[in-house]
Amino acid sequence: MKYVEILKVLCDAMTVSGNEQNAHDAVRTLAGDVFDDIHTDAVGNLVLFRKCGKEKARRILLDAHMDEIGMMVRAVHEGGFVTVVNIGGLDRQILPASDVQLWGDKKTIPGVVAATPPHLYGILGNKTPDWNGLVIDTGCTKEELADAGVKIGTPITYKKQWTNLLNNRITGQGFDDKCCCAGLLYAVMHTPREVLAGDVYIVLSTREEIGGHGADCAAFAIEPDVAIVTDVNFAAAPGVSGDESAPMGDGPMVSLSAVTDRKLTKKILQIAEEAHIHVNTVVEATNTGTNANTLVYSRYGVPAAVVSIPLGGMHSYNEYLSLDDGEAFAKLMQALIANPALAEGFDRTTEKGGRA
Amino acid sequence: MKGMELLKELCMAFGPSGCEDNVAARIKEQVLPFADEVTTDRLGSLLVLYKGTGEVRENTMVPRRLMFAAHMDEVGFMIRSVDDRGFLYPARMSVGEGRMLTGRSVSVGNENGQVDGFIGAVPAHKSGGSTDFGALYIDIGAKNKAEAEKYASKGDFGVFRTEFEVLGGADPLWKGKAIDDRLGCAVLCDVLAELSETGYRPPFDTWFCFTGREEIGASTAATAAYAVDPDVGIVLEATAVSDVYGTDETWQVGKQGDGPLVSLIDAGTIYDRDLANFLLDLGERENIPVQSKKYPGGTNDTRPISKVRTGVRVAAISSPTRYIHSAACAVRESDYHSMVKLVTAAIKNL
Repeated sequence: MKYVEILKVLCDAMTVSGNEQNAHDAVRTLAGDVFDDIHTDAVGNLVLFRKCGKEKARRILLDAHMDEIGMMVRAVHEGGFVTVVNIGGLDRQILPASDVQLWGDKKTIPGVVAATPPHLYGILGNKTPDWNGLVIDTGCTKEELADAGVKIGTPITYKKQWTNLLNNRITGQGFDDKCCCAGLLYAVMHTPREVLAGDVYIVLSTREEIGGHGADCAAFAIEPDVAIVTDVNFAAAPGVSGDESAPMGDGPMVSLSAVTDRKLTKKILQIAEEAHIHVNTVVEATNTGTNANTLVYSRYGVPAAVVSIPLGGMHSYNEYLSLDDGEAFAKLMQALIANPALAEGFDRTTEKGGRA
Repeated sequence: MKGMELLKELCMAFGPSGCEDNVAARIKEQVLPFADEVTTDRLGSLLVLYKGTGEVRENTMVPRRLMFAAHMDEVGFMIRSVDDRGFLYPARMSVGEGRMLTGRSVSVGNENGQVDGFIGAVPAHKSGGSTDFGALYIDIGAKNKAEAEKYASKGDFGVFRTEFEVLGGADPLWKGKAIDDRLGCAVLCDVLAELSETGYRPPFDTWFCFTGREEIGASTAATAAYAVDPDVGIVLEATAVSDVYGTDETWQVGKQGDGPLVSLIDAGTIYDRDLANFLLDLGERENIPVQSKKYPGGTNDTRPISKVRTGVRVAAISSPTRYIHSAACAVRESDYHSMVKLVTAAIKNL
């Protein structure tokens, strides 16, 4: 399966934080029999395990989060109007006049976020309502919504779309972080067992958008020797400084941060160079904005690095991705997990002191 | 093609102000079989004549000619520059606030072709994140200026790219871009087709005019009206209402499902009261839902039409429209059909 095909399967699934399991069947199907074990843990992470077949193998954790930002129905009103709460960092300012989908139990219902037209600013004011006042218009009657299984708690996303732009670039929803999920799956599915640098655990983690709780639990269970946390980062664009972004189509990004492990990060940069995969580094001094922030403090500690894919329009109506970057990311992951040195040299060491 | 199918077809056409030719072409195809004469004027308006019997009448508001007008253009923007990295920067043409554009899908180009893109803004994650219009850019995926300019250059246009969708089942909403005012265009096409198919000829000549540049304030309706020289001019529009949950009923302007709105006064026009009353009474008499517009906001093509030559009596009939000037405008199916009925009845009773 091609990288883009895996990505499409993942993006078609609605995985607003708390609903990640919606994608699990599709992942199991596309993963086939490549993995030795695939299981869903207590907090909804999908853990895909592939043995390398060697004795005393190192454990390598590859994390990408499966959840996407969205909303949830707070109340259903007469006239097919629905009020909502946000799930994750949705910018309410940019919501009005957005096409959305309400994922009812029985049927997915299209809707529009109500917007004040400029003609009526004089009486209604020129401002976006707070979350309490944001309204979705479904055009349905209350009964139609009930029949579709739309009720308090029903998840809502931006309307799922997929558009091809120039130069192998696409716009759509949920690329944060399904572009990395797809890259990890592709990499492990295309790497022969014999060359794996250790036992590999792909963690398609939950609840990143609301604080990263899923990945912490998975790391506790797996006790990895090293972890590579993968997420999206900022693509260079007007208004985004060059320091904190990388150009679209220029390859994956590697974070330089006090949160992550310097040795592992250096190793990744070296392996990328040897494999002729161009990467850009980005400084995220005290906060990577990813699962790595908390995952590194699991149990005795986990040496971790952050590898990312540049993304435009993050958390907006459209996200914007270069498939070239996604494919380069997948290749980099292949090179990393096939490098015997990847997980070596991170053991805890204890020496006897003079008083022993 | 009629009703929703026709409206959808027209809404999907690329036609920002000053670049309406694609819309005009689709409308022309629709009206040609039913019209007596179709004129494309020098500013791009389509003037469609349906001849009357020529019967001489007294005590009528329309002794000679009746004009209808609907504008073909939609809100959008013009490309003001392209930078070395291939980003395109928009100049505003009546689209809503920057925050309602951020992240949206757009089509960029001109009447000869368009390319897909999306609108970027400074991300909210970053300090200084901004959705001000001046901070917006359009990305079509181009790697540099030369590549971008193969598809869109300074002076080309952009519009929203939104699917036309039907929301709900019982008296559904029709949602899409450009409903303002392809809806008026579609209603005129439907009315003309019906007159022509039933063979009804009013005493006076009826001109169905499809105009341009309404959204920039100086419409080609003026020149269309000069050419037609009508006794009465009736504009068909989509007008802003806000009959949504949470909005005080006092400020709702009109209610969807209660029929088209007839204007009495707005920011550009004081309407002919006899004509407005005629339309409101007609609705009541013929059992066609109609309501008077309850807030004097906005302007339309009646403003230029009313002062052409020695002056024209004007009326506006508008579909109550939610979320107007955005990527997702929504009108009610029953209001569309009520509007077709009211306009047809007006022709038969004026």
